[in-house]
Order: sequence, then structure tokens, then C-alpha cells
Amino acid sequence: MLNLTRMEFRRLFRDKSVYITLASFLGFILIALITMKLVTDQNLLSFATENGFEFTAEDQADAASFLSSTIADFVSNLLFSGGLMVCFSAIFCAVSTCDDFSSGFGKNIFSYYPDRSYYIVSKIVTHCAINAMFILALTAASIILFKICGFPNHLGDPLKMVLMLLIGWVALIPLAAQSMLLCMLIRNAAVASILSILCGLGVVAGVLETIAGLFGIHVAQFFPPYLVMMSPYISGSASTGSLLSFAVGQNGLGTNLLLSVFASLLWTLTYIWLSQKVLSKKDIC
Amino acid sequence: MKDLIVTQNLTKMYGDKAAVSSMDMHVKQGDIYGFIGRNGSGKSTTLKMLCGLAFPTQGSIRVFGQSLSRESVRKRIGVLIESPGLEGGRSAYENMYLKASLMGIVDPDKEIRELLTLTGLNPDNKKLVKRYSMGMKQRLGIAMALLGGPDLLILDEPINGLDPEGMNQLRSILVELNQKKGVTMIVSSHILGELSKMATRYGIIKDGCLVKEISREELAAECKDYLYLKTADAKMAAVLLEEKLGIQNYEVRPEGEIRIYQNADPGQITTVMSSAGIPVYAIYGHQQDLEGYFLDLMGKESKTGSSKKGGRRHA
Repeated sequence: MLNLTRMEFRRLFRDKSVYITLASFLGFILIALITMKLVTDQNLLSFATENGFEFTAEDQADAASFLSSTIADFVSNLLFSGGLMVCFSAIFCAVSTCDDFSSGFGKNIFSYYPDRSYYIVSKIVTHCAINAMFILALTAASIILFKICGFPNHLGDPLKMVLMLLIGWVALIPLAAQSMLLCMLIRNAAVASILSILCGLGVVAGVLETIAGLFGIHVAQFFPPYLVMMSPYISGSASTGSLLSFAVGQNGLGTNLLLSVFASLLWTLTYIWLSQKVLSKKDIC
Repeated sequence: MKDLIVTQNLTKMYGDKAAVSSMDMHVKQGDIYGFIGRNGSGKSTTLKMLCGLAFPTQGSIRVFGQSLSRESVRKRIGVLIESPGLEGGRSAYENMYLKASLMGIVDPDKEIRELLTLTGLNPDNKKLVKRYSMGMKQRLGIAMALLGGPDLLILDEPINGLDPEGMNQLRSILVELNQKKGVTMIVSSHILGELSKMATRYGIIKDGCLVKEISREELAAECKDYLYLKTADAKMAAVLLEEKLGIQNYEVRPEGEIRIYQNADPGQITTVMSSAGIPVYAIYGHQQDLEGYFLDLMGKESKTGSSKKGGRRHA
């Protein structure tokens, strides 16, 4: 399995599309920060107004709110609660996995490895690595661009920021595994991407939470999308108290972080098992 | 030679339809096994099952005397099934490198370069595989199948898309691998003339059933020379052949054809027939090739096989 994982790493990390996507995300951050600079800098604001740009009171309020937030808030909103990483992970996982079947490259893998769970696990491991690379690169780029643009925003609590990134990354693991299961079932990149995004953004968890809520039971925290959405609270933007209180569920959200992490890992194992079952029942070509 | 591949009662169903039905195949070590059948007869499905890409509905497959589900068995098999499994957005070298790394080949550069050169591709060509012609893709697929020095090669239509020079080159490679390194091969192809130049044994499949397994020597015996004779009166001609010329080894076929399987002088036969007042429409020596044998066999099976096939499906 190590060889297969090594091959997957080589395949993905030497794929231009990974870096093109990363570059476009960086461009997106740059544009967002330049826009905020335009609104928050008095000289640039008056220059823009003189040149015909119009700014509403709402824009001014947004700018004030932006300046009072931390870089950690910006990163958590961008990556996790904004859904960027969920969408990226879902699409990338679906495209790279379904491509193995449509291009026929999978024949090389499955004719060599009889145990198909190797494939599932190595794919998930590779996607976790890609997710980590994107999280770290986008976070680093955000910190650097904040400094370059001269924003006065503080970084925030570094420990909470690291925990937020870590939890966000952990929350993406079951979503990658879920995406694998959908790919094994459908083997169509477009359909698998859409379903992965919908599930990743919490559509299924939300429906189940609503139904269970009618009986006074709350189940959302046992689903991976909830963990993704919790990350802004971990970074401190919702002033939920100390890390310890968060971990034991005395954080105002009524959520036990460790329980959610445990549930996510359990979902990962379940999805891997189901993916392996589906893959072992279906012919490759 | 011992059997390298043995299938027992191998069956693959797609819904109600049997793509492969109760197949008992035997491929001996050192064979170049020509796998022949019409389109849709079940060749590719059989080969997919032999390399683990499709699961049998019933039956068993043993390769190298072991179950196909063992990793140690799979590592000894090189595969080219239908179109080559290639990443279009990469070069030939990079495709080979990916396959080598999944196989755990350490420092595969030398082997990759050798195999690409052997199959007529340039290892330094940076051109993306998606821009390759069909023949070049096929060459690359073959090079990938040869990676790691397999003991068994399963090649489904490997000559597809190759030009005559490519076919000749591929044949030389396969024969050399078979003779020098003892690599056993199963090769399916529609180009029977090309297959007959290298195969040492044949398996003929029809409607998912293995109709016949035959060695090259047995095939040569079955396709032996005969003298074709067509006259106005086959029965009378047969009597004359026996009585006047002492010919015993012959066969009277439908539509007045006579096939004489022993040495006979066509001039003498014509003289005897003419003097008996039997017009001779045609007389010539005939050597049946693999294609003729295959078509003959398919014809026979079509006439006798329909009830057999129905029986199997109901069973």
C-alpha cells in the first residue's frame, strides 16, 4: 500500500491543476484584500470616490468589522465556514478518483493490487495531504498578504488558530472518505462532486437535525459538516471561552469538541469500509 | 508443461445474459495462447476476469497454481486490456514512472527507457499521451504491460491500431520474450493471420463458451492439405476414386465437393473422370489457414450449437 500511496502522491503533487487551483485561490485572497484595502484606507477611499466609485454605509460597516477582526477569523471564514475547503476537497477528490475509471488508469492499479481497500486508503491519505497543503499555503499567504497590505489586524491567539486549522483539517477527512464512497457508487465526476459538496455543506446533516429536533434530540454534532462549521468558534471569533471549556462542551454551543472529532473519525472508518465493499462488488471495466 | 492458468466452470453473468459460460480453460507454461472469437463472444470479459478486473459470477481461476486474489500472483502478471490505461495529461515516460512506482520498482529509469525504446517510442519525448496516435498509445500500453518483467502477459487485442511494421515489431518482441525468458502469454486478436505466426496454442470461444483448445501441431494436422474436387456427380466420382485410383482417405461434402486427404495426381483424376463421362468443374490443392479453420468451426457450431446454448441458459 505504501507504493500505491507514493504513486498517488507523485501523481497529484506533480499535477499542474493542483497548483493552478492554488494560484487561483491565492489570487482570490489577493483581490479580496485589495478591495478591503480600498475601503479601509482613507486616502485610497477618497481617491476611489473621486474616480466615480460609490461606497454605501453598509460597505463602511463591513470595513469596520473587518478591521476589528483577527487574521485567524479571516482564515477560518475563508477556509471553513465559507465552504472553500469543503468544495475544493469534494471536487478534487471526485475528479481525481473518477478519472481513474474514465481514463482506464485504474486498470493498472486494480490488476496489480487484489485488495481494493489499499486504493481507498491511499487516495484518502493523498487527499488529506493535499488538503493540508492548501490549508497551510492559504493561511500563510493570508498572513503575508495582511502584512504586505499594511492591515493593522492582529493574528489572534496562535494556539487557537493552530487548533482551528487542525480541527478543520480533521473535519475534511470524513468528507474526503464520503466523496470516495460517492465516487465508487457513481463513478461520474460531475455528479459525485455535486453530491459531495451538498453532503459536505451539511444538507443531509441539516435535514436529519431538523427531523431529530422535532423530538428534542440534536444530532448535528455527530456529523462531519458540523465540525467544519465549528472552526470559527475555535479560533475565538465567537468568544466561546477557553480551549478547555470548548473541549468539554461548556462553550455555549453545548458541543463537545472531542465527541465531534471522535464521531468524524468513526464516519471516516465507516465510509472506508462501505467504499471498499462497493468497489469489491463492482467490476473495474 | 504444467498448467499455468486453470479455470473451472468460469461464468460471468450480466443480468440474465451469460457473457462467459462454464469455461474450463488451460494455459500451459510457456504457451503463447491465441484466444480467438467473434466480437462479443466473451474474450475481453474472460481476460478481465483473468487479471482481476472483473469478478466471476461462478467458478474459479488459478494462476501459477494459486488463487488470483493473492498479491504475489498479481505481481507476476502484465496486463493490457482493451484500450491502454493511460493518463492523457502526462508524457509516456511519466506514465511509465507512475506504473513503476505503484509496483514499487526502485530507480526504474533504466527499465523505462529500455522498454520505451523496445516498443519504438522515444523516452525523451515530452509530448502528452493525449496527443498520441492510437498505434503509439498501443505501443505505450504494451511497454507498461512489460514493466517489472512479468511471467505472464495477458494482452487483449494488442495489435489494434498498429501499422504493419508495428505488428511485425510486436510479434518479434513477444516471440523473443516467450522463447528467451519463457514468458507465458494469452493474446486475443481478430487478426488471425498475425496470431497464427506466433501462437503455440489456441482457445476458440463462441457465445461465452470455450469451443475448443488446440495446439499449433494439432491445428496443423486438422488443417492439413487436401485436394479439392468438384464434379457433376460426387457419388460416382467417389466410386471411381476408390476403384480406379485406390484412394481411400477422402470426404464427400455437401454440394458435391470431395476433399482428398492423401497424395493424388490431379491430372490422373481428371483423366479418370473424363473417361467415365463425369465433368470436372474444379480441382486444386488446398491448404486451410487459421482463419479458414476458425470460420469452419464457427459454421459447424452455429449449426449444432443453438440447442446446446439454449440448454445451458435454462440450466
